[in-house]
Amino acid sequence: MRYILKKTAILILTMFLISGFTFLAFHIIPGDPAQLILGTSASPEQLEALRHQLGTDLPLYRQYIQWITGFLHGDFGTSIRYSMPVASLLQGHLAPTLILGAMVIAATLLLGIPLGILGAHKRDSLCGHILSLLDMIGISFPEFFLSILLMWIFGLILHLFTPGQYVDYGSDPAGFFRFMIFPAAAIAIPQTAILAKYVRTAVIEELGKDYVRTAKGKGSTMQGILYSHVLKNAIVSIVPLIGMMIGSIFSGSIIIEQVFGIPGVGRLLISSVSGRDFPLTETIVMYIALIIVLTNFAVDIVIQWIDPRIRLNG
Amino acid sequence: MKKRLITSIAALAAALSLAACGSGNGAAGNTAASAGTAQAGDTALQADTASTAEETAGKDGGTFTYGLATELDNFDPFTATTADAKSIYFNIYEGLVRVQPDGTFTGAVASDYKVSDDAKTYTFTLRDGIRFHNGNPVTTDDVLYSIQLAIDSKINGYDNIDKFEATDDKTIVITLKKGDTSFLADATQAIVPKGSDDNHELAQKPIGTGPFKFTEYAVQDHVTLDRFDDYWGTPAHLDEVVVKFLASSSDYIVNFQSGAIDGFTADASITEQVDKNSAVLNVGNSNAVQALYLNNAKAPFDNADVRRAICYAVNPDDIINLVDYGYGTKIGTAMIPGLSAYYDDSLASTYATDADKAKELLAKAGYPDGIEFTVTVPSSYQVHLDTAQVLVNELADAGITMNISQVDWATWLQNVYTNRDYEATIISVDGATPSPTAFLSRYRSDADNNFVNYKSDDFDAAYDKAVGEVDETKREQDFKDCEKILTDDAASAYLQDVANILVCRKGFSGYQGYPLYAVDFSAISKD
Repeated sequence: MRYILKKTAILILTMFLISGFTFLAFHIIPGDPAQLILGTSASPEQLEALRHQLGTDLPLYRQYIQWITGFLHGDFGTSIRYSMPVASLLQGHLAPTLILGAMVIAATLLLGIPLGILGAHKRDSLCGHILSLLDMIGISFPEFFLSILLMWIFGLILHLFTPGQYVDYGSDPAGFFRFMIFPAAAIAIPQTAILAKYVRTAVIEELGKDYVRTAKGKGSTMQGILYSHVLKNAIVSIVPLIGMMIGSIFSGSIIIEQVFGIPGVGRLLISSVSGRDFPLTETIVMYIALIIVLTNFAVDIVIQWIDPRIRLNG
Repeated sequence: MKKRLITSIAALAAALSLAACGSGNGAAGNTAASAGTAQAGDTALQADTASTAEETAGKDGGTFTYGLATELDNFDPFTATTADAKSIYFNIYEGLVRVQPDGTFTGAVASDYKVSDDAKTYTFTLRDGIRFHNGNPVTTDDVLYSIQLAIDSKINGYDNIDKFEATDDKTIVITLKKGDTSFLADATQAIVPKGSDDNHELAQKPIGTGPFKFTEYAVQDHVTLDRFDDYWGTPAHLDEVVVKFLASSSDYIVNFQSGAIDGFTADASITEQVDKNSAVLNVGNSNAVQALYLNNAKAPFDNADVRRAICYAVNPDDIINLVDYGYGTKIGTAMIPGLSAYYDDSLASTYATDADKAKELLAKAGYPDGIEFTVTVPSSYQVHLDTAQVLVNELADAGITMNISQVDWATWLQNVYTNRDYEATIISVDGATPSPTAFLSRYRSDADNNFVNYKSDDFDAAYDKAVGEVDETKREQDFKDCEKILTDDAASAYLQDVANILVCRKGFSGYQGYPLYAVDFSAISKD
């Protein structure tokens, strides 16, 4: 229980630090949202009037204090760029990103873990070598390049989907999933490869340990040892990796949404940064950070539940 | 704990770096402009045998999906003054008058107008039976409200209004403080219903009198425009236009090939990649002045001979051929060919490319070993980045070293345009209204937007003379005199008016070019 309390305190501190870092980043980068809205033909009077209307004439630290006070009260403020409440903007953009993330996580776990075990089990056979090779290829493909390749092959040549033609999940769920398979694959392929490689290494390491030899000596089958002992031990070193992967999946999603034209949180984040939209950027960063931090929090709990030794060190 | 902090920060860092290289395509690359006659580069270049003959006889109906690499987020004609926003709401809003393809003006919300001889009094007659998209008839109250809004919003030219009134329920009289023959260009500013923009509601819900009405806006995705059936003029052919926002200009080709969009406007480096069998390319000008802008207040560019040396060292023809596939129009001064009455095309040949002459001038200015400087280029504009690459080589021949620094659009606006903290930059400068003052006023010593820090008493005097002149022929010559001063002083190294090419899928026709940056959807029809 003390462990959980301590972790929670660290979680809250992390969130504060992240919002502070975002504020600092905004402080450093040049750019004026009013000038971005009005363009080059704006007069100084026009700019001043708009700055006052938007509230960006206040120093940034006061905008930060204003935003964080609101945030703690559940009010995320008003987007500068879109002149609408941040909360309602996010509402429309969260679903595609979360569904994309869920698809990627599901695909990665369902494929990465079995492939890793298979690779470890058959490590000396041809099958194992082929899996290692595929792993290397998968890891070396950048998501950006992979997504262009997928669009070209499945979109422009095979016509399995229309690149750029995002289908709204509300109006056509089947079409939505059909479209989302490809961006999900672009993120999932490198992640699956990384996970498979990690699982393979962890399993091979466990297989070399004394208890496996002992079990073998007692006459247990390889399959039996693998599933009843080795996997349980290997998983302790795999679970933290999954926590880390959530972060990569979200940063991957930022790029992929841009490439595939998905109106999700990632794309909104980019346009909020390029529009120097402080309240919107802060809120999105907090959302993403919260998801990442919470998953890692969950991972910590799961690990210490699997392996009580961690609790002593925690 | 460190790890997850790092992952979160990594996500933010990815967003920041993407923002630095993505999207953009804001204002200055494009434009607005004219009062002269027909536009130089405005010939329709047909990739195949398709002809424009049927464009007037186009059939009605259909949806046209237009791709736009700039995400529009504000449709208030009094605050959204970026070129891309204007190019779209050109179809939604109309002013008392509107610009025609040849650059002259014709009545829109006003059916008729009169200008007094001293160009001080403008009398407009409200068009009979004209209605807003919400169904209400347009009254003089709406017009007076819109004029007041333009004054309050500090719209260009409206500070010159002395008084404005409705003398009866059909007539609006605007009296100017100083005579100005180009006020008609300012009278293209949108007329909106009274009270409709008290709290900037038009930003999300535009109401105008144009051929298309605004029906739907999905943030970051698209806006939908429907044909306005009660339009006072020739109704549009298309039932519907969907303006789809793309993340960056590199998405045009994929989206066009996949069928996600039916058309887009871009520069030649992108449109050259289009499969010519499936598309018609309509070449027009961007109506903006592309130049290697030099900060006249920073050494060594405070020396006119150094600036002239740069002009001799660059070769605009090469740039047009290499960067713009030969489609751009070479210019030698800060005026667009589209404003033909005011444009002096002889200035384009003032500085014939000559590296030796450039070296000579540099030596004379006290730089016998050449100079080195940094050019700051907004990364969202491929055409300016490409131009910079070509310039590096051209300048090297004259012993000039130019380093390229890429920045994102917001940074460029702040550091270069507003704070004037730069040595040189490459950009296309547009005009706020279709008038010569929009292009030349920024060179006045005291202008707020004189981002090149150009200072010349001769120019200031010549400019004031031109603005005060009410005789149209004399006025044209006066503005040409201003241009000559800029060219002789080498205020900057002027290059070209970059070509702006509208790509349409075969099956759509009816491109209509204007001497300003606009896409006229009402002229497009589906075969």
